[in-house]
Amino acid sequence: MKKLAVMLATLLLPVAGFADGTVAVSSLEVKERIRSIEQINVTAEKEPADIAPESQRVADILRELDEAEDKAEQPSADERHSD
Amino acid sequence: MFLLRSLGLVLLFGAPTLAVAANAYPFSAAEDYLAPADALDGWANTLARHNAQQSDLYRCPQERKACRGRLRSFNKAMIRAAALSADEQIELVHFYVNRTDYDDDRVQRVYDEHGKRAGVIRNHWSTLYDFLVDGGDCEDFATAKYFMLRDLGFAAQDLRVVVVYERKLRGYHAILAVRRADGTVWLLDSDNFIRRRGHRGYRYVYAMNETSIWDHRADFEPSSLPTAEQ
Repeated sequence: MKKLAVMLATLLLPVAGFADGTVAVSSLEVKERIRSIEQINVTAEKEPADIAPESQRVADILRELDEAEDKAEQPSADERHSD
Repeated sequence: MFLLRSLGLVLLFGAPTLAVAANAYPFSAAEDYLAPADALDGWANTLARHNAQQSDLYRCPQERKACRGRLRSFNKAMIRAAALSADEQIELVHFYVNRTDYDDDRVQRVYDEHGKRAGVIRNHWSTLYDFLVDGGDCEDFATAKYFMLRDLGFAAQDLRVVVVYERKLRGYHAILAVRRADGTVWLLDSDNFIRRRGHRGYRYVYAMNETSIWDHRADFEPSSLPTAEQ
């Protein structure tokens, strides 16, 4: 029983410490951290994978929106006749 | 003895779940809070401009001249989204935004509250209006999703734009983290994946929403990541 208690305490202590931890940060340190954050360049891009939404309703809406956008990009009948 | 065996079984079968969940985005890590949102100038500027442009987002289709870029389909998407479940709203916003043309924001065009081009800014966070008119890159995809979900009623406290270090790409990337009602966190990436159980390929660097900034770099050795100049 004693061994079990020691084992459980060993497992739980890090969690307890994590849950307890709020460390006071000086305003100078905050400014330094903000400055270093501002230096980070977000540049890594990813190619979109060919996957579909799980919801069929969402997939249908997206298809409608795509069709509407394609239609909006085409010249209007008046513009075509004036060429 | 029975307790020991039970504990062993829990650890044996729970370990894979724990391992995956171990890299879930740490929404509850209060110790990572850094500062109010306005401490980050570029982000504070984006929030202010987004607020100023809010009405311009919805002037299309009533005003045809206001229907620039993807604003017409944006308005349709928001109307249709109102009838969807929360899960479906996230999916719609995610896939809709990801269909936007990529535009490297090294030269980013910005617009004033009247929709007129106001200048260019290098490497900044787009407003939703800027993004729908001119496109953007990964951080703009993340902020666009943030603003759209906010307009659909998702709480700011459940949304964060997160900058990660992507190990595969060896660079910094941006995603949107959405905390769900059951406590799980969905990670919306520009590669079309919605990762619902964390992602081993990310190291969370910092995050922000309209109220706060979080710094996650204490969770790992910062010198293990490239500096801004590299």
